[in-house]
Amino acid sequence: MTAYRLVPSPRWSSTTWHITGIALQFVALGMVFCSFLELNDGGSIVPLLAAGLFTLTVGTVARLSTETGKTGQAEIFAAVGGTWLIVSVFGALPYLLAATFARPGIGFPVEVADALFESISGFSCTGSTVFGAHNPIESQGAGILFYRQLTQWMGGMGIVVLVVSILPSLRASGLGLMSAEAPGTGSADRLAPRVTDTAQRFWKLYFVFTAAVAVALLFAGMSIFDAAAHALTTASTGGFSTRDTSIGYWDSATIEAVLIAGMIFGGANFTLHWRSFNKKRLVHFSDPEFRGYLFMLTAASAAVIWILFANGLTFGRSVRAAVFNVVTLGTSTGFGNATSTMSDGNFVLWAGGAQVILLILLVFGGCTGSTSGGVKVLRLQVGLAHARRSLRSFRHPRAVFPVFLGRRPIPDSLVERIAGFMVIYAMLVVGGTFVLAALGTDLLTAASGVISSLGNMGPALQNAGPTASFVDGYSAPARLVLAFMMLVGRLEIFPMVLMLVAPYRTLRHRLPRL
Amino acid sequence: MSSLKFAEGLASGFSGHKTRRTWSSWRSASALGFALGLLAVGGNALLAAATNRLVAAPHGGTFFLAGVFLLLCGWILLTFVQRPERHRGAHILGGLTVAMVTVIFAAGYLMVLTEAVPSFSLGIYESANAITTTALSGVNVEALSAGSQIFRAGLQWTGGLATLLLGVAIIPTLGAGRDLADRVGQSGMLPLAPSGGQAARNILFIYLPLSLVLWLAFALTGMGVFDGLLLALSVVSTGGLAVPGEPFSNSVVQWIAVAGMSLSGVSLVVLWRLAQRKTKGLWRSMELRLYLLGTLGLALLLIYSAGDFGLDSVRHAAFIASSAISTTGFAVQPFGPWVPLVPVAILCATAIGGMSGSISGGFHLQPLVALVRLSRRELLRQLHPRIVLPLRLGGVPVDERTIERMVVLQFLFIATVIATSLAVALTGFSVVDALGMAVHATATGGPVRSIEGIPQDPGDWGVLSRLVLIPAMVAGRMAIFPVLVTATSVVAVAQQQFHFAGRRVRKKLRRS
Repeated sequence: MTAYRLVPSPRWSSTTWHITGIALQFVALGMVFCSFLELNDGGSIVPLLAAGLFTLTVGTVARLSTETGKTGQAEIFAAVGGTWLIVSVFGALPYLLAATFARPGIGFPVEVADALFESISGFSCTGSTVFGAHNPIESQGAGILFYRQLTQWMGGMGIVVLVVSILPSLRASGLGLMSAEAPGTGSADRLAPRVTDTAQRFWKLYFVFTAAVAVALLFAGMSIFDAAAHALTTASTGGFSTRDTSIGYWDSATIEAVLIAGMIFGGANFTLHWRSFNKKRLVHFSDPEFRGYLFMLTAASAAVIWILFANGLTFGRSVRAAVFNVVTLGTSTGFGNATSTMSDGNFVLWAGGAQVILLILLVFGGCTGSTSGGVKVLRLQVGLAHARRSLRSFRHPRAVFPVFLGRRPIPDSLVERIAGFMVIYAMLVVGGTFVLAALGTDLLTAASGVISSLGNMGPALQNAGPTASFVDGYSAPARLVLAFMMLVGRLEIFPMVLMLVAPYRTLRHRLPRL
Repeated sequence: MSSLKFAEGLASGFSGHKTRRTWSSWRSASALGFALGLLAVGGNALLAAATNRLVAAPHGGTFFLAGVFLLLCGWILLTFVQRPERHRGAHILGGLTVAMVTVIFAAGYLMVLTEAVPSFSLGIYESANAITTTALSGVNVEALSAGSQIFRAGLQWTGGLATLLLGVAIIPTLGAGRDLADRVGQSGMLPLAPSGGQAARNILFIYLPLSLVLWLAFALTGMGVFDGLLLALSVVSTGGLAVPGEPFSNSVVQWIAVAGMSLSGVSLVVLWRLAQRKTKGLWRSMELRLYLLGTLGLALLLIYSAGDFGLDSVRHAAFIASSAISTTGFAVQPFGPWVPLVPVAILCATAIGGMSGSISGGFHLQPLVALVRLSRRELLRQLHPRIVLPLRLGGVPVDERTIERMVVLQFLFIATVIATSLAVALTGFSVVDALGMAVHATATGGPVRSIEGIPQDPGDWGVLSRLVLIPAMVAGRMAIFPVLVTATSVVAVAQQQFHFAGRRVRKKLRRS
């Protein structure tokens, strides 16, 4: 409250800039923290610290010079979309200042595109990377490496949720903002009567979960730095790693088992976790979406194990390769357990049947209210129920059939919303593939890249598999298209697509008519 | 006693007197579908027998005997069925699916008998290819007898006709897409489909002359009357099965085929209006404009990709573009290098197909336009959650139930493609090949091409890979809904029968 009185009134009324300012302050703190890690590692403190201070300054100015304005739907979308876009741009500063992606033969625009790609991939928890054989991850300092992981952790629970959790005085509709950033099924996602409390509980749970994964990884054999870094990207189902061969570097079944448990937990609805924690008993299995989620992962794992086993791998190796990769893609995390390009975990080399299953998993993702991406299991279930109703209504034209999810009838408005979402999603996949093909990408690399980016998965198929860099699979303009797709997918389409409506309306009001 | 009852029933069936109880709706519809399937195969078999007789090719007798037998069986069954007052919509669709499946099995077996294919599994694959007008045949057409060739072409033509009847005359009368089928009636002009029967007559009025004109045109190019007939049947039905020789080396043949395929992809309502000379406002049809623009765009892309702007290049490009969009799918070689966008564009064009109410397969343009508008409405709803915004097509609001079915159709179309891709990939194909095969089978198009545009030879595919494509072909040709409605109806009827049987058993047990 006091912070607002320091600045003379009237302030500029802009929900977008106010929220962006606070979000930038958080990101800046992360950069500053990582700069000290870099210093400790013997690297230069300057890039991260300079980026952090600049971001902090901009964030502070934006926060103090503005106040929340109108909170209509258009303004909410503008605020959420704008915040994510601006934060991603500022998030690319450390990479640019440290010349992380500078390499011979490329110009500054490509370097900027790569930095933006990595930043957006981080915040959107996608996990696709432009690091590769030409620019190994392991050649980077600890600061930059931890910063990458931290961007995913911040993006996992949501930057705007973070802002809402610390800002009780926010006049903007907190629930609207949270819903726009992490759409769920509505009031069921509220953990407390007050939105701020809900956001705080989500973050507390997230923090405890991350710490638990870090401890488990430490016991499984990782160093403290790697354990902390991978815990951040497991909890957020992001998938960035501090190693070039990702989890394959350790080649440890124990570490993979810990990560599988963590990824499954991260891909489930956090509301269920909180309720289980509160009620001191497991409530997950009463939720039809969670049951569907587990069924999907189990069925896909079994099918892939069978295919790999039939193609000559031993049963044990099939289980390890199949379960890890199915879970990592089914929860939209995107870790890899391939130790080299020719190892079992490189799913680009698997039989076509297994790859089609992975492609299907790339589309669906985890549960609503989780940190995972994709269309979400709930929407798939409602889509199936919707199709079933339509077929039944053919047989009984005058009957009225409600759509059920489990034993709960779903309102028609929600069914319509989900149907609309899926239509737009399908169009984005087709449109994106078309654009990428026009930019010179082959069919499978283009389609899987778009699906992977929209679903915030990480690796794709063909030329952008788990052991490849996105530099190998896509041109610089194609990578920018994919980066945009990542943001669209992370915010579940609408905020990114509709973020310009509010500014357009404002401009139309203020500009004189010609 | 029972033989007397049977004789009575038979007599009443022939004379048309209803002395027995009418059959239940689903039983009657299934029997009628089965009979229609037999009649379709029998008719084509007689045509094949006549052809073989004319050119003194072998197996004329087999075709003749089979044709007579199938026609007789079909006719007896047709007259034997005691139809109810009214068939239920789902059961009509079930009957049509039964007809399609009957044709596939009967024609497949006949192909084995006439040694056109070596095994029954390949026989049903080839007959499915023909009746669903999918151009993924693996048979060497040069090795087939003239009768077998005309048999396949005739099945294609029958499949095309069945598609039109289903899309324009049957499904709309059952409620699905009624307000999309024939929007001409609403502007006071002569409607194509005022009733199912009238629609069927009008469809024949367009389909038959179009076939004859194409036959005449091909024959006049010097390719021969028989080959001209084969090609005309293949083009008008968007079947795309190969014909002997190299007919497309002649530029005139190619241009006629382009015109024929393009017309086949146009909605029958548009053709009907052209036939009625009611062309006013035709250009306002968004679907027609999209169809023409799509063909033009794809052709231009092919020309640009080849880097050759000569007349030959234009002709080849127009041929490949119209073949893809109309889902005809003649397997011609590319005429130049392909940029990565071309295979994607061709795959999309085949998946979407031509106008709704046309012979072409695929998802169709009208539902796509509706879905684009639906997504726009959904975006507006995000901004104004309480807004009431009816969806309009051609200036007329579309029923919400139709929109729901379009969304479900999209969902089912994608689900069919994914399920088929998975099934094909499990038989040993790569993801790209499996996806290509699944899309082409569901859209009843062809051929599956490599990234460089070289058409694959389905003869190289394994038997299992081909068999798993058949459900997708049938579902795609019947616009997906009928097949799934049939499947769910069969399950429901089986459940019902099981329930009744259980009740009877329980009753008997109680009495005893």
